[in-house]
Amino acid sequence: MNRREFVRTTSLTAAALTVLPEKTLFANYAGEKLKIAMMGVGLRGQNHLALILKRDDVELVAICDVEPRMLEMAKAMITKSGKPMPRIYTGDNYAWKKMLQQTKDLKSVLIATPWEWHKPMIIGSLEAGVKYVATEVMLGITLQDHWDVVQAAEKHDAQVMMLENVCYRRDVLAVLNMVRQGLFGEITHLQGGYQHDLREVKFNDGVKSYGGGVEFNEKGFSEAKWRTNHSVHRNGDLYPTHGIGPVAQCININRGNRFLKLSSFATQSRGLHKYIVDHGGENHPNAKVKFRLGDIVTTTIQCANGETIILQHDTNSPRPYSLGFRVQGTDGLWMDVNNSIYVEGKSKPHQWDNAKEWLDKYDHPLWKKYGNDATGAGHGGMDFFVIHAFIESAKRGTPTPLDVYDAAAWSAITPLSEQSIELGNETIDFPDFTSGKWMNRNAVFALNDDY
Amino acid sequence: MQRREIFNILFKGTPPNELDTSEPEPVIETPAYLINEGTLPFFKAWKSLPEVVESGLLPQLTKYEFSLKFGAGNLETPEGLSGISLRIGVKDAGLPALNEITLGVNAAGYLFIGDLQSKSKIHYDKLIEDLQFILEVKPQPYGKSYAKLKLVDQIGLTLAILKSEQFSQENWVGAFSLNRGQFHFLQLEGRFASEGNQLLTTNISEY
Repeated sequence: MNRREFVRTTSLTAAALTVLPEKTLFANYAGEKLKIAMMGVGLRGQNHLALILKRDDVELVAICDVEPRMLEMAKAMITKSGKPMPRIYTGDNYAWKKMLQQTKDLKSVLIATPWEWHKPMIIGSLEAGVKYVATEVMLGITLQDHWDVVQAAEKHDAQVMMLENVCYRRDVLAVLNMVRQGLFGEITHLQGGYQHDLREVKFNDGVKSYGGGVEFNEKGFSEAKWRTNHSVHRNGDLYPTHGIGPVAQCININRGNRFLKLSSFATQSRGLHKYIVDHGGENHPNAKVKFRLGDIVTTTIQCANGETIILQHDTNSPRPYSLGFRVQGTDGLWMDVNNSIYVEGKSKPHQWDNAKEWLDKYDHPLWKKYGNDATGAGHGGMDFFVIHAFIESAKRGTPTPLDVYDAAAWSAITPLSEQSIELGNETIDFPDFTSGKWMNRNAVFALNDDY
Repeated sequence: MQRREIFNILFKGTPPNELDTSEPEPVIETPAYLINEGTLPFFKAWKSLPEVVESGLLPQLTKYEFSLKFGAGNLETPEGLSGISLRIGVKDAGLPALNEITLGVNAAGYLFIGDLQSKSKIHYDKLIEDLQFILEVKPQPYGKSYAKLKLVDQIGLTLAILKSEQFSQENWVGAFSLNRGQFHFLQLEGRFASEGNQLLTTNISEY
């Protein structure tokens, strides 16, 4: 069987698996099950819930949410899975505290709530004795929030892992594999971002999750209920972690390297207002809302070892999705927008290679081992890996591969970029959340096919 | 007859007797102050600021980029907000009377370097926390200097930045001392030429 036939066959197998009955991971698992509770079972939380319900090494003991509709959807998923129904906490914004108080021997918590709840829920969990906390992306809102979480994790000697799933994207991991094998030489420049038309996420009709109206805040549903308000009041890179996480791994940020300084620039804010006028008319009350968030925010970061990074946040304009990755070194580069790779001495001079052959060749051991298990999981399978890494770390009592320092450094780009713009696009210093430990820490992320 | 001579006769009336273009620029060279080769890093920290800090330190450091980082307590006093400032480049007697430089935050809450003042006012709440000033000075061509003063709060968030090109490198040479307010640490970082190990013994009068 040649390579082409192999790829075709495995693709067909993968496609077949998606229509097979859901299989269970770690079936007949004999070890002690990991007790986990979930704060937030909205649409994002339900992605994680589906993965947790597939695993036999995890016991879901409690869930918590304030939205009755979301809770009903989550309960239906649990019933369908055949797993025992966990205790359910709801009723007010602090039901999660009651859940922490009343749940005995809770070892881990998974948080998938609006950004502003992440910090109090992380710290609340740590103070309740939980040693493994997984949180959806964004650690906090202000820079102080980030320090608070770092210091709480240090104080309680606990693991806080931000579920940055793009670090596990198949092409991203293959490129990391290439970087580590020196294919691109010494890395000098990286790019990434979050370039995703979120207009139908930021606005809906209050019933559907996406689009259909121009409502947000109290009249919106799901993310429109809370996320859009950040675009009203803030101007900066509001969602940096999908872009920065993968490139940070390529240059060992917090492990021999660190972010030193950044500057940000924002365009004028047009897209969200235009969307409201186009879809709701100029007399719609929301047409009067003044959005602060620039349509495209560009941030440049300088690293201690000399590399530069450009991040772009672009969520208010019509455009196809792209994270805009570029990883460039002294010997070549990868760009995901044109799906191309160039390696000096191996590619034809001045001509791009189609990235696919390189990415197949350097497919990461994690994907080779778990590719089939990841099939059908959210966001092209990467959700599987990030949850898998968290659960395996918690089961084994080892540090999570993405830790609180990674979370803080990646997420703090938001308040720092806001401050840079506020000061007239000044270059501002990046705090060292590791307090100097970055100089001696070793890389731990995705070193093998374990987790 | 050459083409140039014809043109000169027609339009100028005299044969060419001088170059009509200026001397070419010399080959591009990196300015000396940007070459770190052969220099050594320098770092010195004081836990509390002595009355006057060593005047012999700066002469060599000012040849290259250097930075001063100084930590201050909060600026609140029973009478209201107090200013805080540092004098740099204080000259010994007998030296040319160059302007010394005063910088810091004034009582109104504005960052200043000499007579230059930041445009935006720093929020009062921020000035009653622990603060840190970072001064970065970079040499520029023809003996000029580029100074950047940043005010950073206790968690590392930059609150204000002020830049100045009004001082020469020589202005920075000299002792530095506290002018107003209280500091609890000071760090001086830079580079100096390795030859002769003269850093701490350099006589300021050489400048």
